Amino acid sequence: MKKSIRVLVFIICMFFSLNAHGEVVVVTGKNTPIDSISRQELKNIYLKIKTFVNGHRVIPVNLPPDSPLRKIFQKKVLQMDSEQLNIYWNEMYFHGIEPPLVLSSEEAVKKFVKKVKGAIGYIRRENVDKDLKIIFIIRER
Amino acid sequence: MKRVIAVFFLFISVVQATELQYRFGRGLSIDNRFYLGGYTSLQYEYRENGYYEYKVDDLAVLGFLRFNKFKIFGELEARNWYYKSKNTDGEFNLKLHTERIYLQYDFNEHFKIRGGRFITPLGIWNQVHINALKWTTSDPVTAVWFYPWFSTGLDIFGFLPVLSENTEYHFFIQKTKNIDHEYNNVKSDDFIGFQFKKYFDVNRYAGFNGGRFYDTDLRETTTFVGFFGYLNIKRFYLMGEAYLAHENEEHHTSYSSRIDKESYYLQMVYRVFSRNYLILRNEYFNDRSDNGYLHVWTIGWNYKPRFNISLKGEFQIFEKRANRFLTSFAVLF
Repeated sequence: MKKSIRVLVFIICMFFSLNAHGEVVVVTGKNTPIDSISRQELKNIYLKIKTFVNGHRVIPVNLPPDSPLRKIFQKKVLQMDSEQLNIYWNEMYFHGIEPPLVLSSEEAVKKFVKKVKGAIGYIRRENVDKDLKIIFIIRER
Repeated sequence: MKRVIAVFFLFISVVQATELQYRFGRGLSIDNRFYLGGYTSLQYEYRENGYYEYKVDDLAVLGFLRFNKFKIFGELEARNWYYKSKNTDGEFNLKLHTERIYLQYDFNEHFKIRGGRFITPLGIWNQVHINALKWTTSDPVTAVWFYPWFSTGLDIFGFLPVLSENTEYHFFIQKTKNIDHEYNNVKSDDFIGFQFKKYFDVNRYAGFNGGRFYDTDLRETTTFVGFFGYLNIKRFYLMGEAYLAHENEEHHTSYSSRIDKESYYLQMVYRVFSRNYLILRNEYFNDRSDNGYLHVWTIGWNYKPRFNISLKGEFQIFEKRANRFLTSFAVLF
């Protein structure tokens, strides 16, 4: 009986550790006055419908288009495919609104959001360090 | 000549000191602050009565500079750059006119202000009226005959601070001549209007608007109200606008409730397969004061081989006019 409980606990722990490993989180620097954000707010920010949160200007940053994290972000937060987004950004470009800045890696995102007040970006949870704040969690599953 | 050389060297030194990037369809960006791009289109039309025309419809350059809460935006355009129809010889028009030029300052999400010449911030179609962005080559009459496409004045806008934080408002006023009268559908020196647009999501919104303007050519004041809605679910797009207008031949005469003009369009777009879109539109227009009437069905196809390129073809069935076929090529660069 004890053995089966141990096995069960082990399976549960493995499940949660795998799940945590697969999490993508939206982060900002400690100097940005945002503690949490809703998915809808995040979508509005990344699509530049809204540019302020709590009265402060926000600067969203993206990873390159072929990044697996960006694909997860696009699917789970923006909920738009590439063709929808292209049509959307064509219209925004015409109005002088450019898509979010693209940074080359998660490391670059971390450096940028720590340095620039109001900047937000997404990285894997395991790459979060003490100088970053998690403001939204995206579960891959 | 010395000046040109000096400017050239200044440009080279600036470029060398900054991050310069060009992406076809998104223009040239310098330091992610200044952007320079443009668009152009070619168009051919054939009517069942034998009339035809072809043209380089527009050739435009647009640029904008963003600096913190400031934005400066400019756009120059030569329209009908080359034009030839059944009744005319080929004509070139290489004159560039100011399509837009404005300065914008964002105080916060609720209060932004822009001054200059800008696209009249009403409805759906008027915001994306260039060939490279439209789903069809033709424009529904609803988007052409109700208010000036461009305004010269002030626009105050943002999201409402109370009641509904996802409702965007615009209040704009023009009390002067246009910065440039060219390429505007109505010549006006007096225009006031508003719009409320509720976002249920970025891809789902609806709203209403209204305004009044004085047409300096027709010496007529028009008061109008409109409604619009937009829905995009995956491959499917649905959009529509409806307007009612009352016209007074004299400026600032008292308003009566008579409806002189009414119009709507309803358009459905479906991505049949990747980069290929089927378009179906119904539009209606009735002008009692000028006995104008139009009822049109449009069926079209839009192929986007690349995100910034559009190849379109459509057939328009008119109730009381010759049907027509339109095709065009448009590109953002």
